[in-house]
Amino acid sequence: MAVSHYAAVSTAEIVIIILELLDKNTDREHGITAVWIANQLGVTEKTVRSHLPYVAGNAAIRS
Amino acid sequence: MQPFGRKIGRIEHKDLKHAESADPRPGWYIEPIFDTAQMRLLADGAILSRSDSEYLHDLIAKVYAFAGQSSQLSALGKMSTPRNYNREFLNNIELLNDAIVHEWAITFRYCTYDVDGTLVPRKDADGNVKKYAADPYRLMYRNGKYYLICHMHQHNNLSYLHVERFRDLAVNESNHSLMRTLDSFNPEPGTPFDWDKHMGERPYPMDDKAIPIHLRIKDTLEPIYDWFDAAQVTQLDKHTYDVWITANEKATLWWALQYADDRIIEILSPPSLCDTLRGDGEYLASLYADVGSTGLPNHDS
Repeated sequence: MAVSHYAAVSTAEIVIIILELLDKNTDREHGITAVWIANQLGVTEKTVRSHLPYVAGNAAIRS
Repeated sequence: MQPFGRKIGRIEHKDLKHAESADPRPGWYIEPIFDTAQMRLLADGAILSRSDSEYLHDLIAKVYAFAGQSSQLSALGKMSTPRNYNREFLNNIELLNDAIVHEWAITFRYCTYDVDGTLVPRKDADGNVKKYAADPYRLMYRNGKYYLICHMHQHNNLSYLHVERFRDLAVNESNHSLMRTLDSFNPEPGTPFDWDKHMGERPYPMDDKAIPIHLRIKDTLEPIYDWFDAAQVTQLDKHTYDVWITANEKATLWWALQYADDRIIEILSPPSLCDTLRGDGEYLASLYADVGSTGLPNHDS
């Protein structure tokens, strides 16, 4: 899913879209990067990284 | 957070040292709902049902998506709906599932095949469509066929009915209590019915009790352990094995006949099974006695 211009999107919506991207594009040997997610969402990498803790849980976050 | 119980984490380069895929890549990932083995088991099980091809394709696509393997879907190839597919099949499975879970008796018509392979309801001698009633206990695949194991009210034993042959399946709204419980068919009263044991003793699904059967087999044990998990085997010499199984006699007859061409199995007991095999052998010898001269079986004998 490619979505752009996400300036007004809520945290909840971004979290759900990240989950959808993970579901459609990943498995145990294929990951996606924060940069790739940011490009798909049309937001900055910083925005993605700030939302990843909600998706994965704080303990799973590494740089 | 684990959405729908699925772990989310990061794959690092070191995690991919032994990756099996051609193009592994690090990054964030979500654990698939099914692993690859689960995906194949579910997809191949679905294919076994010989259901409507479009329905099957959608179902298998879901399974592959939940395993994160949608890209492999095309490798499955084309599926086709069986020529005489029963359009009531999927509804029947739902209804049978509910009837089994809630212990409801069912009524139905049961089909046989017309000359062109069309499913048509069984009729009595007067030409009236027969209606049946049964206590359903379990749905089960056996030898590639999907069976309902049940007690048909007109009989005193278990029956094994092909699920794709049911028509007009229904639960009687006014009285749907079971006539007999499954445990009443248990050969060992007081213990729960053992499905593994029951089916393990029947290489082909058929009722009648399982009995000890003694046989010898030459050179290979594949026909034994492929069909009988609990066989007791003793090696007599380099080529010969002595075998005891507990099995239904008629089902064992069918099992043994399929290997007759290999001439590796000899039934030693019970005498009744040996008699049946001899009778079948004599019938076949008689039927094909004149093939050498006429090219056709001898149908007059």
